[in-house]
Amino acid sequence: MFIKNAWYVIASSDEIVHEPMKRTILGDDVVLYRKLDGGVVALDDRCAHRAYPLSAGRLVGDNIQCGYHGFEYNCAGICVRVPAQERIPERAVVQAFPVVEAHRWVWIWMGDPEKAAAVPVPDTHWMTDPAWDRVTHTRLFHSSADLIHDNLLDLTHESFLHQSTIGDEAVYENGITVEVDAQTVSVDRWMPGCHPSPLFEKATGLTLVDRWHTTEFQIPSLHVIHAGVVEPGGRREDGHLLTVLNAITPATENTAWYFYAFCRDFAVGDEAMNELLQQSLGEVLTEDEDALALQQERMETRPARLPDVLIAQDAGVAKARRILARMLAAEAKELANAGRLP
Amino acid sequence: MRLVLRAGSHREVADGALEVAASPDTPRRERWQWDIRVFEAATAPNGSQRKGVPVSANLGRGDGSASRIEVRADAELVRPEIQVRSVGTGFDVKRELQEVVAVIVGSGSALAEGRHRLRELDALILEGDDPYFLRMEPGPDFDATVAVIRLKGTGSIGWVP
Repeated sequence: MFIKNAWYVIASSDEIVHEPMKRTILGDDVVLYRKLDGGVVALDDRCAHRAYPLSAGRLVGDNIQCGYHGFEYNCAGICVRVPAQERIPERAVVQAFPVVEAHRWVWIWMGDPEKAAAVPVPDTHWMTDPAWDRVTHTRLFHSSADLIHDNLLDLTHESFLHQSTIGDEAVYENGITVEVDAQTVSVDRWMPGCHPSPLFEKATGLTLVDRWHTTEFQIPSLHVIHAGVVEPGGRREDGHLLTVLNAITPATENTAWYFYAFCRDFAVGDEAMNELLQQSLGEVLTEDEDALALQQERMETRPARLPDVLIAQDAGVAKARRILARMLAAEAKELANAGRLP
Repeated sequence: MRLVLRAGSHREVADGALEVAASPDTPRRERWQWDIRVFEAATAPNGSQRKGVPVSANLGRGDGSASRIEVRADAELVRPEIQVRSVGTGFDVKRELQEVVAVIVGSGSALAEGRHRLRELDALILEGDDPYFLRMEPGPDFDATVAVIRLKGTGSIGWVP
């Protein structure tokens, strides 16, 4: 079960070209391609005729032609040509999904298309702001999206899983402030008078700092982590600032796409810094990916009588789970009221 | 740990009440300790089926009405107290070891620790290792009314997810 009435990142802009590409999200296969004018099209990846994947077909102008019997669909998913006959069946339609391309990511709305226009895509302007630089990664994690959400809402794991890069004891030694609103959970940690993390020390040359990170989970799909270091006693805005974007899109119940962008307001244009961060943060993601895959495996075999033992640091996790459950239930109820199965 | 629970995050429960906070927050997982609920009307009936002896107080709201704050607790673990007061020019809250403190705004707005702006029915929960001291200051509008709830543990208590 997935929350569908929300924007999710489905691809980075550079992944989508004028050739059909398949991506599975929220349990559904979607075919993506660019039109001749550069706009992005997202359609259900299943020909209405005999369910052949449209992504295995080819483009004819801006239309996509099924590779099996040649049914041709326009960008709205309406069949405009059936090679074997003149008449086009009324039901020869595939679902077209609303998409928005913004700041190098492509967002998709898999739910009720009429609701999409009223909801703006989340702000990710750091991806293109010339005052910031960034490194990015795209990964398919072999764990549920929920486990990634939990991972991002409890950053004390950095102290153990990422010891050589972004974690140390300062993370778990300092308390948190958890703020909860209707659809947002944020976890703020202030770490005064400590060493920067090993990677930050390498990147900034600082050895004693005030340090912070604030994870804001814009439920259900985006975590924005505002982090930084400043010389002790300094103001946050005068420090070395980071904004780390983590767009999490369920692929299936136990796999998820992870679109990651580590944006910084210092050493902008420094290619050596980009290389250092690209490699180091790639390793961090691999550590997370491996750990969460193991966790997923153990959770699938764990007896139901042994639920998680949560501690106070898991406050954000618990609150986010509750909001996700409430949103899922609301969508299921709405569908049931409309006489449709979720 | 601080929990800033905005009015929009409270859970609707039986009796037309809003559950502002509870420990454990996930029902039926750990031993029940306490919960804090707000009843829209000061005259709402008590939730008689629920366990624990309630402590309650009326909290003035911005529209001139009053809501009832009700705290229930496992008497073996927790002794609850509620004090309703105006923020005035500001006041300090000191928290003891083995004590959870919750502040709920009834009317107006208040500033907690110089950075958390709390508005009507927003709540701030303090528990665990820090902080033990809280400064409440007035907001920019008319004087705020708040409920300060103390949950004194007979042993180690806290907010449990």
